[in-house]
Amino acid sequence: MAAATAMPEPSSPKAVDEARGQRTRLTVYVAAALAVAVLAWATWFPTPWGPAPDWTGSPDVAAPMTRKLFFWHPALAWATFAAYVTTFAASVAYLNERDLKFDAPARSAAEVGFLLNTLALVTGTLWGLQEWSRSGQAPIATVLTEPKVLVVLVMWMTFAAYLLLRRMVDDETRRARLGAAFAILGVLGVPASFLTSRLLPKSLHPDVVGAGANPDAALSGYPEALFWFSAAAMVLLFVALFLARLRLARLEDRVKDLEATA
Amino acid sequence: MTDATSAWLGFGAIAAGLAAYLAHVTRKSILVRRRLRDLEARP
Repeated sequence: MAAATAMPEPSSPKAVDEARGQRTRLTVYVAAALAVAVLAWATWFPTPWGPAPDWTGSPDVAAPMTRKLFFWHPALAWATFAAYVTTFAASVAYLNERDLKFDAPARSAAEVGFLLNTLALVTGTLWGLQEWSRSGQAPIATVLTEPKVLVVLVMWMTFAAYLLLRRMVDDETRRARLGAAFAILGVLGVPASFLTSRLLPKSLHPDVVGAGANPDAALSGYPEALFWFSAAAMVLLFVALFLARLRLARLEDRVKDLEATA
Repeated sequence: MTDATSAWLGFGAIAAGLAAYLAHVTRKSILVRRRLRDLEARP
C-alpha cells in the first residue's frame, strides 16, 4: 500500500531541483496560511498567550472594533514595502544584466505588492475616518489631506501605472525596461511614506515602533508581541503569494516561448 | 459610519481581497498549465 502511494523518486538533477522547489513552496504556503489564521483568531479571541486586545471603554479610543485593524493595517503596509523593495531589486538587476529572467520576479512582486498596498490603503482610510478629526473638517477631508495618505496614494498610483503599462507594451524588452524605470520611481514611496509621519508635525498618523515613535502609542506585553507577530505573518504571506505568482509568471513565459517557436 | 460597520468593512476587504487574488492566480495557473500541456504534446 505504502509503495503504491509513495511519490516517485525524481530521476534527473532538474527533477530533483523541481521537487525541492515544490516542497519549499508548500512549506511557505502552509506556514503563511497558519500564521494568518492564528493572527485572525488572536485579534478577536483569547489565546494561550493572552486575551484578545480590547479597547472598549478606553477614553482615548473612539472606535474600539476598528482599532483591531492595528494588527493588520501596519502589517499590510510592511508587507507592501517588502514587495516593492523586491520589485526594485529585481528591476535594478534587470537593468544591470539586461536579462529577462529578472523581469518575472519584478512583475510578480509588484502585482502582490499592489494588492497589499490597496488593502493597506482601504483599512487605513476606514480607520482614519473613525479616529482622526481636525477641527472644522469633515473626517474624509482630514484623511485625504493627511500627508502620509497622499504619499502612499502616489506610490499606489505609480504601481498601478506600472501594471497598466505592462499590459500596453507588446515588446517584452521595452516592457521590462519601462517597467524597471517605473518600479525605481515607485519604490521612492517606501522611504517617503516611512518618514512622512515622523518628520512632518502636521501628520496625524501615529508611529508605534522605531525612532520617532509616539510615546503615547507605544505597546508592551502581549499586544506588542501580537503586533510583531502580525508583521511577520503578513511578510510570510507576501512570500507565499510571491512564490505562487512567480511560478505562474515562469509558466507564462514558457508558453510564450513555445508559441513563438511553434 | 459606525465603528462596527467600519470594522466589518476593513476585515471584509482584507478577506475578500486575498481570496479574490488567490482565486485569480489559481484559475490563471490552471489555464496556463493546460495551454502548456497542449503545446508540449504537439508533434
